[in-house]
Amino acid sequence: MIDVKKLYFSYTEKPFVEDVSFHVGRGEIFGFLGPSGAGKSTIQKVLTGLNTKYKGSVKVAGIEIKERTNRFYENIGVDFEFSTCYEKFTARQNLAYFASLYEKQPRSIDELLHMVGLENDGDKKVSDFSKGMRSRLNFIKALIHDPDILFLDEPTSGLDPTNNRLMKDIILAEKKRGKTVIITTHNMFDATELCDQVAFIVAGKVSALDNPHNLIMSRGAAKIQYTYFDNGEKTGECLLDRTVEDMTLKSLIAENRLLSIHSSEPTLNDIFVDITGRTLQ
Amino acid sequence: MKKILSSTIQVFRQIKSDPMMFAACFTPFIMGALIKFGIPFLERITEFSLQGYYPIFDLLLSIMAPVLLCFAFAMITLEEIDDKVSRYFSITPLGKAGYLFTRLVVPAIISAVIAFIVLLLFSLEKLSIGMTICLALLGSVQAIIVSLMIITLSGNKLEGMAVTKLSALTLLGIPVPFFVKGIFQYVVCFLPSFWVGKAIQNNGYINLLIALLVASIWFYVLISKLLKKLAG
Repeated sequence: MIDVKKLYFSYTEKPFVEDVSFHVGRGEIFGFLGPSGAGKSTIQKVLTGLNTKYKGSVKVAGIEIKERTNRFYENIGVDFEFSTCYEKFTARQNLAYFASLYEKQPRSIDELLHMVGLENDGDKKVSDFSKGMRSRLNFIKALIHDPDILFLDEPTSGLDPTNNRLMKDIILAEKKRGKTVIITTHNMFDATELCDQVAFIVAGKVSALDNPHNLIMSRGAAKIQYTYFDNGEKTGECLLDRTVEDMTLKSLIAENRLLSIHSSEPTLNDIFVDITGRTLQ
Repeated sequence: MKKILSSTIQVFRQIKSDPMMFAACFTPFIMGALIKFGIPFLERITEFSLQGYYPIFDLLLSIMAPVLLCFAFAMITLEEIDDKVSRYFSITPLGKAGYLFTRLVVPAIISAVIAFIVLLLFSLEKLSIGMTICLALLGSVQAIIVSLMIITLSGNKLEGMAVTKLSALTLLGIPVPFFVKGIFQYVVCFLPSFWVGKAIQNNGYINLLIALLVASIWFYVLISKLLKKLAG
């Protein structure tokens, strides 16, 4: 669905995005993970045709971005990080207007509003919406024409845990419907949960590209931490696949003296720090 | 076509919801009636003749209708830039070109028609149909310059009001040929309105062509700036 080969892009003479290549198949969720200013949004702008002065090949739905026409956007939905709705108009008026710009039959406005919990706010002006409500409205605006490819920029940013969950469930449901989703985020938990593939972007380059599970496993096995009492509370640690070699743990289990025990898997953030030497925030 | 129509209707919806913009669209007709009936009435009660200045009043009419409509469209566009909606159109089938077309060219076409009607109804001089059409067209060309200046040079609606006053200065070329004689009048030759003033003074179509040429240079500079701003 998306094929990028040796992408170079620059705002000035100094390259901002360098030698980026990746492939996203139909029905996949692909995540760009990286700190602010790393080049994630710039790559997304290239993919959506907002930046066309790039070098290399960028094909979306079989179309080289430089050669796209306006019809290309019939099948593209973009959810920017900021609100792009008319403040003076209601949510319903906004959705109806943007739907009118497409030739495709739009999805039901009521259904979309209901999907993100805005069914009682459809006739409210956007200026009266909270940040989270705007974010959800922005998201369904990108779905109104039922596009095949969705570009989501920080889709869960500014959402409370309930709506964060709701949003992620909708994204996964869209994937089940066969949609290809490109997510830009610096939220490692969202990326781990949602993405089939993630690309770590630092300073305009891809530092790693794989599925989250493989990346996590590449760091090695998870650890076990346990506490026990021996002249005061003490802590022990061993690798999950080497528990049999830990004699202390063995005897603690045999003597039933463990106070607590839990495993700790590395997170995508740990992997990111390991590979890039940078933090995601 | 459906997209262009839908996008244009959306601007009128916004104009309707803003009393000031709504009033701006009707002002040319009110001003036209005031000029058509008020000036002769003033002449009658004061016995002071303004007949020598009738072309200036007609020129003002030809420009006022397009400028006010384009001003309303420009303010709506500024609001869309403020709301970050304008950038969204680039990733819809309307596209950046379609968006600019509906915000700059569509009002210019509508305003040229309105200017033609206003001139037919309210001009003080007997203008030929050819000259009336030319004045209406050039009025709308200058109105696009005004709206481009408003959209390009201001960051929000408040600044837009201030830039509107500044951009109105570009219309000051109209009376110059009537009041400044000799070579000094060419100090404002960079203003299309100056050449339109000269055209109506001499009934010379060549001056209208020069006005169009000067306006094209303004377009080039302002549209380049606008494209940079929209790419933001």
